[in-house]
This record gives sequence, structure tokens and C-alpha cells, in this order.
Amino acid sequence: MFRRLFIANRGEVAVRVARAARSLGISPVCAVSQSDRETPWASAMDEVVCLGPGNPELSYLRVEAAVQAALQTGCAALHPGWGFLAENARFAALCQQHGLTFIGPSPSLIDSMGLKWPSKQAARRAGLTLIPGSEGLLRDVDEALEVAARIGYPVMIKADAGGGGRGMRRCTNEEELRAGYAQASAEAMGAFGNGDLFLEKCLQNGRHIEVQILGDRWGKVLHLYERECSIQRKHQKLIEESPSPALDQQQREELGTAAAQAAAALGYVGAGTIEFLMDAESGDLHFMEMNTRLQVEHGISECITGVDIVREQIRVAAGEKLEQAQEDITVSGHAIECRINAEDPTRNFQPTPGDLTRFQVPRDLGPGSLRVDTHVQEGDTIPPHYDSLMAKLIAHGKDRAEALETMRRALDGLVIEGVTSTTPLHQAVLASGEFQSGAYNTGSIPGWTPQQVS
Amino acid sequence: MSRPTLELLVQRHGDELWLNAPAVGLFTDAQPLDGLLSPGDAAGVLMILGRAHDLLVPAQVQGRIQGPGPELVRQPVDYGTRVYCLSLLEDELSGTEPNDSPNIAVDEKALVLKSPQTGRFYHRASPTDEPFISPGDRIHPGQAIGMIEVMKTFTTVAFSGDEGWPTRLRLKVWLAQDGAEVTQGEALIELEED
Repeated sequence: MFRRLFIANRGEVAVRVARAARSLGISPVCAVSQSDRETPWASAMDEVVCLGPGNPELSYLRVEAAVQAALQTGCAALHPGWGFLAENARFAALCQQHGLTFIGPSPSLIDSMGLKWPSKQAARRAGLTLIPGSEGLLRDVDEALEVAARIGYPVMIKADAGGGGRGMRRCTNEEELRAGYAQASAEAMGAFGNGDLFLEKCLQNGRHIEVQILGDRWGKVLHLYERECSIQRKHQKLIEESPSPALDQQQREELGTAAAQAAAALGYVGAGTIEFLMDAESGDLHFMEMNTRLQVEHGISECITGVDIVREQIRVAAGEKLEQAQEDITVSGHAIECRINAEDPTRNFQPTPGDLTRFQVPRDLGPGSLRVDTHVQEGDTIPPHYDSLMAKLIAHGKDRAEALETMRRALDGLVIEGVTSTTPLHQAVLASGEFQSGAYNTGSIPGWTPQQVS
Repeated sequence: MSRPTLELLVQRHGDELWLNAPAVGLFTDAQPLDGLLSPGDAAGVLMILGRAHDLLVPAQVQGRIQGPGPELVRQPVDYGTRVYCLSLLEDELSGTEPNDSPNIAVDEKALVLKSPQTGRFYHRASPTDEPFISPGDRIHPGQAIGMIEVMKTFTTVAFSGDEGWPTRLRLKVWLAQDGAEVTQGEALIELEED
């Protein structure tokens, strides 16, 4: 096992990885920026290395600096967390080149899952269903029109190298598709130097359901069942729960098995997530993408399965075997997570960095149990440089009703002053009939209207 | 083949000047105690992933080495680790201040637009786009002049105008550079009557 582990990340995920490292007797060393250097979470590390100023492009995103920092502090392995460099194949390769174990899959696997069409091909080869659409990249607009006529409008034109909504167009008829094809291609060419497009049926009001995967170097791949992540705003998840209220036990087992088989076919090592979109009409689950890293919402899967995902991630990176058999992993109760962000939900989710004058986390309000993953403390200043996540409340109950009640009490007992948080949004969603019934989708946030002012 | 170079960071500390490491790496080839450092001098080497980078003394910095340079040789340093402490020379003490505050002085009466938030300020919507406006361009109330990034969220900064200001205005100069970190209330642009 490693003696020292370098964490190339900050804040909440750095704290989470350090906790798992210590549970294995590994000493955590963490990257910091100048503005994070004096924070309580940084002080709690065994050692920190300052990579650069507050701007992440000059610190946390510096590939060479992170590798050099890990080497000069005597670390044998590096955990990239999520965000920043977690899915950067060049970074993973540079770690390898310098004898550092990158805690994640191989650079070539990260690379192939990063491009849209190759990842879909790999998923299809591995037996997953794709969203109906073109067979590969489109030759020209005529082929696009032909495919659209076959699968039916509305359709989505997507750039192979796309990201962040660029090179993407929703088209509801032939005329829009003709125009959209040219625009999307030009936009993708300009932004990514690659104008290749493919086409998919536009599935509206679907559900985002993802499966947690763990693989070791000995060919074993386990799934830890699914997470329901349909409560989103602009593709940012707000609330997640596990198991999904949309699946029955048979569908749950089938989806988990299919995802684990697909990951095994890819030779997947480490923690990963396969995301699916559930068609609102047919109920079919289509492959969307694979994330080759730890996810923010991993905690709810840990609650219901009892598996420490980060600890297993480090163990398998060190070449150890996953000890559990798939049959040992069962769903115990229900877990739900609310992301408490420094954003004002009544003002279009405007970020609200500033001084956190009060921050008191409720404890043991029952009826289930509450886990709080956070890196902030009362008296901290929330810096403007980084994402707005302050804390994750994770409630675990014997069933969904108990988990929801535990979360409701936790939200009511949470005290945050000095910065505006997303707490009122979570309270409104939990109180809504739509959420309570479990019948919700990615189309809207139940219990919340964009112009709502509390 | 010349080696890559990095400029040391300067920090003023009372009557002393500190020169700090500009990156993470192993420090070596330090200059001896009591030696003189002048702008452009190579004052050591930083090894980053096995590659040597010459550390250069920045402009307007001159002084005598008091420490700790030689003690740090072959030691790992962070970004910001103090590698030299310099005592300023007599003529330097009365001379120019080190340039650690690049802020442009703005006349109190100048027509400036201030930043609504603390964050990073951009002149363009994306790296491949043209700037929203350029010096000399006419500017109207409601017009976008830049973007501000706070916690990965981008918000357009629009010119709101101000009562008592001339109605015809144009951009005189950018006071905050493209990609600069700005604090709330910091001047972003200066305007002039058209």
C-alpha cells in the first residue's frame, strides 16, 4: 500500500479523499492555491504544497506543477478528485511517466470516454443501448435528414468534439435541421477544430439515472446500484437519491448488471459512473456517457451499500483485489443528498461568495441518520475562484419516507448566515407532491419556479 | 540551446525585498550570502520534472542577499516560498518602489464603470470571440462590455450609465485587463465624452 498520497484537488473532495487515505494508514498531502493555503481544511492535511495563485488556471489546473509537487513530497500515488484534472488523459499519462500511480483508469480509456462518438461505440460494443440516431458520424445534411425522417422529430444535432452545449442544436422539423446542421458544424469547427456531427432523437423530460461501478486490476467489476439525479438545473445536479424511485427491483438488477458487464468489457479499473437517460414514454434506458472518476454524489451509494468507494478506489489502484462478491452488495434502505451551494436560488442562482458568519450543521435529528460532507467552517470566507459547493447533506433512512423526513429536519436545522445558500430550494422541492411521489424528471424542478422569491 | 526561464516573485517586506519561488520544484545553484542581485541576473535554478529553469531577478529589483538562499539548495520549494531576502541598497531605498501594485491610478472625477462583483473579468464572451468593445467605440446604456466569472458562473457586465454623465460616450481605456482578477467596486473601464 502507498505510504503517502497526493491529492490534486481542493475543498470538499480533498477532505473526503484524505479521510479515506487515513483509514488505510496513508498520509495525505494536498495541493493548495495561495488563497486556500490558510483554510482549516488545508491545515488538517499532513502536508500541503502551494501550486500557484488563487486562479485555478495558475494552480490546480497546472499539470506539471501537480506532478512535481507529488514527487517532491515523496508521494507514490495521486488522487485527482473530481473536476479540475480528474478526466485529463495527458495528466494521467504524465503521472505514469514519472512513476506516480494515477488513481483512475488508464489514459487511453479516459481519452476514448471523453470523445462522444467513440464512447458511444464502446458502450454499444459492450452491450448498452444508445439513444436512437445516426450510425456514426454524418456524411452530410442529406444523411441527417434521412435519419431524422426515420426516427422522428424533434432531433438533436451534436458535435463529436462538443461540450458545454457548443455544436449542439435541437431541431423540430426539416427546415430547422437544414439550418441547424450548418450552424452546429461551423460552431464546432470554430470552437474545437472538428466539425464532425452526429444525430440523436431528442428525448424530453427523461430521467437521469446513473450506475456506480468499481473495478479492480484482476478483472472483477462490481456495480453499487443506481443513483437518480433528475433534479438538475442547467445540467448541474441539485438533489440525488438512491435507489431510484423510477425502477422496480428487476429493472434495478438488470441495469446494474448491464452496466457492470459494459465496464468489464472496457477493462475498467477504479471507480466510474455510467450515465443513462430514461425515455419518459418507453421507459427504456439509453447510454449517455461514462465518467471516469469519482462523482460528487458518491456518498448516497456508500450509504445504501456500506461500501467506502474512495477507500476501494485507492486499494484497487494499489493493485489489491475487491473483496466483495456482487451478491454481497445489497440495497439497505434509501439515501438522499442535497447540495448546499453558495448561490441565491431566488436570483437566478447567482453565486454568493463572501463571509460565512454562521454555519451550524444539525446533528442526530433522526429518524434516520445524517452524514454531512463539507470543508467549510463558521468564520470562513467563501472565495470567488472555485465552485459554489459548501456542503452535502446526506440522509439515510430505512425507507424513502424516513430518508426524506431525516433530510427535511436537517434542512430545517441548518444555520447559514453571511452568504445566501440553496437551502430554501431544497426545502421547497422536498415539500412538493411531485418529489414526494417520486414522479419527477429532468424537465423542471418540482416545487420551484424560476421567478420564485422566498 | 537556452534553458527556460522563470521570473522570481517580488514581495516587499519593510526595508527588505523578498524574492519568492514562482513555481513548485527543487531549488539549486543559489547565489551566495552577501552577493549582489540585479535585474536580469540568474539567481538559481528550479528543477521541475527534471528540467532546469533559470530563475531571473525581475526588473527594478536590486539588493544584497541576506538569506536564506544557500540553505535551501536542493530543497523542494512551493509557489511563494521565500528563496532570497535582500537588503536594499542605499540609492535603492530612495529610488523607485518595486512594482507590486499594477493598478492604474484613476482620477476621482473620471467616468469609470465599476465591477459589480468580485471575480475574473473578461473582455470577450469566449476566447475565440472578439472583445465586446474596443477603445474608441461608442457605448450605450445597456450595452455589454464584458463578462465576470464568479464560481464558474459567467454574468454579462452591462454599461448602466449614470445620471449627470454625458449622453454620448466612448471607451477610453480598459482599466482591468482581459482575464484579470477584480474586486467588487474596482474600476473596469474608463469612458470619455464622444
